[in-house]
Amino acid sequence: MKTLKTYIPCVILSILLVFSLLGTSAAVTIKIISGKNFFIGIAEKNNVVSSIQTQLEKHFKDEYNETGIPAEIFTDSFTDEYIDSVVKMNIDSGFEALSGKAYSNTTIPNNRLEESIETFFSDYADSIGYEKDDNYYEKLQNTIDSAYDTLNDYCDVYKFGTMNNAGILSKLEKVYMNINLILAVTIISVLVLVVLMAIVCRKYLMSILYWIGSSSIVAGIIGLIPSAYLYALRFFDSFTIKQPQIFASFTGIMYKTTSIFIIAQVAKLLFGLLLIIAFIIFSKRKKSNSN
Amino acid sequence: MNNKKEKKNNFLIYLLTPLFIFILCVGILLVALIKPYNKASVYLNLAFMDEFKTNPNEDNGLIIKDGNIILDYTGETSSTGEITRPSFGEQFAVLRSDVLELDVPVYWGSSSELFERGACQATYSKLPGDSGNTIISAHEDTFFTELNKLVVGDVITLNTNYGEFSYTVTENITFKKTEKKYVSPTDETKLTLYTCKKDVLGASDTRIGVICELTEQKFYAQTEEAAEN
Repeated sequence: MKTLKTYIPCVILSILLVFSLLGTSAAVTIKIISGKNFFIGIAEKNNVVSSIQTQLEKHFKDEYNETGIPAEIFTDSFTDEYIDSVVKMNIDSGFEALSGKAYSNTTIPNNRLEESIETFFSDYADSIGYEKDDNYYEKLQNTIDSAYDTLNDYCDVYKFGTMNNAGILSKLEKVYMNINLILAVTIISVLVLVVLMAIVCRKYLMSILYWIGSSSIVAGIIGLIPSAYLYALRFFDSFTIKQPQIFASFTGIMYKTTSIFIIAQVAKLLFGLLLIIAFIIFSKRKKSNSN
Repeated sequence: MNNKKEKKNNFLIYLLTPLFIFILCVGILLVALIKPYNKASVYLNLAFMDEFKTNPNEDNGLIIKDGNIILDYTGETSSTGEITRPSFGEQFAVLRSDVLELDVPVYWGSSSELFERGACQATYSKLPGDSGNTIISAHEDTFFTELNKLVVGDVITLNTNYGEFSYTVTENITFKKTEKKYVSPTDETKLTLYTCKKDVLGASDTRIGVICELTEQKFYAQTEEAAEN
């Protein structure tokens, strides 16, 4: 920092380094959360299967007034294991779409469900003497399809289907498919900026500790303040998502992502402080040696 | 004495430089994050809205049907053909434009539930492929958040299960919500898209939108088979 000639380039490089460090921590966070198992883990942790069971029961009970089909005809065949597998299948479909494959909204066949609906329809048709014609089989198939659709909607806890319909998944695909490249670019940019700083500060190389430390602290604070605010005030709890299973999964992902990001910011902050302390110690030692 | 002053100055510079960098970076970040923030909030609105897209689904007496719209028809087409009239609450089209950056589901009819799922076409207006004014609107904080970015010459496509219709923006419009000039039936075949003007303080009385002229219409030769595929 002896002259303006080194000061200004160092300030510029520090600003760029702040953004590169922020980019790196964001890329690391995305890399950590972008695994399929991470999403499955959050869903399991939030016990979404139980929420889905409750919601499905409520849905089919509400529908009873219109369809005349008792809720148990559907819900008795929705075991925890089956719902869990449909939730996982939806997550699989979402990640396959993110990997560039076509989004598949097929569901896992449930023979018990189909048999239960068929039996109900058959018994009802027999009781009123309704002829099992094409219309009967069409209605039966519609009811089965509708039950699968309803089930899929409730089990798509991360709303991959909705995102796919709106073309959001294809946009996110670009980030998901290139996350390693993005991470590599941000890390390389950090290294390049450090090398450039070393070149600029070559006459007093020790000052590089100050500049990197400052950038690291600034990047840490910039990332930490908003994320700590979101986390401490439980910001995502204020989202108006009425479906408990979607609310739990969404907020679970958001809080986990925020906490990972916070850890990365704290690490940067501590690293920066360490470098500044090292700079002060080395500077003092150098001064006492020269005296 | 001079040495002491220089020391003090150096200390101040060391102390204030990170603060200066911090203020600069926060300023740059705030400006740079406006667009990604808007985009993220739109995506979150779209993905995690409360309603479910069940087919068919009963919602306050309204039967909402999501259509499996053909987006990649490769069969034979013709410039004339038959229009399939949807039922109220049915998704019958997907509206696409590079500027909107989303595939917007278009429903036949307007209601608050339908507006949460996509854009809505007024039932008094003409279906794509028919002669007259095709009037489509959507919320400005979800599907039509980028509508104000459409400029003259931009291309908009409406895909239905009976054909694909391409339009070019010819005019940007602004009107009061009570004004019916742009949202009335016309003899001229055109597409009118509109949404609320962004307003910080509650709902806006001003509407913004675009008028587009039909540039190409391709009716699918084998609609039913295509839909099955």
